[in-house]
Amino acid sequence: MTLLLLLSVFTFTQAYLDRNKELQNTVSLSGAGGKLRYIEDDVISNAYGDLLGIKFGNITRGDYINISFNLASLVHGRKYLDVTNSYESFVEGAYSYLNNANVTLIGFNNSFVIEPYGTRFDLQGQNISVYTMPVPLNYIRAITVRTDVGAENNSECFVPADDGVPYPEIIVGYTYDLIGGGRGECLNYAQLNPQENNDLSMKQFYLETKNPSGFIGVKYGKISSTDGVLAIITYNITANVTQLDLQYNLIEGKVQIKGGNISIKSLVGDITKQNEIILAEE
Amino acid sequence: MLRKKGIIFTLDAIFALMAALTIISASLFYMGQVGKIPFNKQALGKISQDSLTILEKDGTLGKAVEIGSAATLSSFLNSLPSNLCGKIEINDASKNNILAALKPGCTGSNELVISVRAFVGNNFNVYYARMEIWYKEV
Repeated sequence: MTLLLLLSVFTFTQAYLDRNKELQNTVSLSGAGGKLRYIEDDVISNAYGDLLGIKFGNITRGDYINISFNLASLVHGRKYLDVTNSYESFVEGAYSYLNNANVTLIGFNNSFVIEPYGTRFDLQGQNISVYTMPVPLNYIRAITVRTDVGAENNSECFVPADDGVPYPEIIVGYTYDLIGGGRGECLNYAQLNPQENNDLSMKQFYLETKNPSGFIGVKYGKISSTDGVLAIITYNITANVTQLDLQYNLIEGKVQIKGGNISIKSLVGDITKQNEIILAEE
Repeated sequence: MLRKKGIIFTLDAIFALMAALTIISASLFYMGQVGKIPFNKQALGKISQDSLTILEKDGTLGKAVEIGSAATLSSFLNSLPSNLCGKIEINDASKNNILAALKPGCTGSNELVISVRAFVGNNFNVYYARMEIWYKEV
């Protein structure tokens, strides 16, 4: 009888130990899982916008899809690719070490893509290129660009020849300082063929500035043999792109803005989390 | 005869005692291996992660770097519950310390939890905040 009692005590302690170890393991794994989610949020939630100086605005669906952006400024000489590369090195090196994890960023750079349209944004310091036609079909209905050039105007606001219906409507507004004081604005639009070089005059939507002496130009159409490219080009000025709106015809699929992929491997519990970097979605 | 019986009883008692001692020792050995479940540390981890998330998303970390002052960080630490102690450091990407704040009345502890959060300053440079948090020793 005593032996039975002792054996039952022994069995109980063994079971208690097993349960305790199991619980410890569950708590550790749950902590590691929570930490992966935290790291993912930390690395991707604000970094892209902060590094590129861009605010991802609303994506709304009605008769059309409307996507709006707000870019801080196009600064002459700013190298966005260097900035994103430096962030990637930090995250994959020191940050991973500090968090006891291996974080890898794939395709994290100075460009991002609007899916399902495949529109790619490319930020190059003082210039932005938006590639709207990865396939021969054009889904763009309208593009609006409003910019504060932060300098005095030194020319009229040039406007390209209108190609008419059914081509996308490109609306461009420049706000500038007037010589002698005050603020001025020009707002122009034209419907432009995305498969045509609309740059024959070299000056589509174009404004020259002084103090500082430079220029800003917005082009749309076939640029460097690629159809459907919107290019915002500045020279020697710091221009604030206060509004950049894209309007698309509706197609199937949820609209998302993607900026590459992230992979996080926790060194505790050997768990790996992989995800697309979603910068904004409808 | 009685002597033989005595030997048998004694041996029986010795074996019983040995068996009992073996089982008790094994049980004590198992009990000794039972570890503390780190619920407290997990709770501290959550608090520090939430704290750094708030400080990043409301712009406090970026602003502190911009103005070169840890006053807002100190004020945040002061608002933590009275049983918690905390320390926040801001470092650049090369791990050089830029700012630091410690909750008043707190000294270090061996039982602390550390969280890290990266952020981008207004100058486009990368920084990270490191928060240590622990229970105040009474």
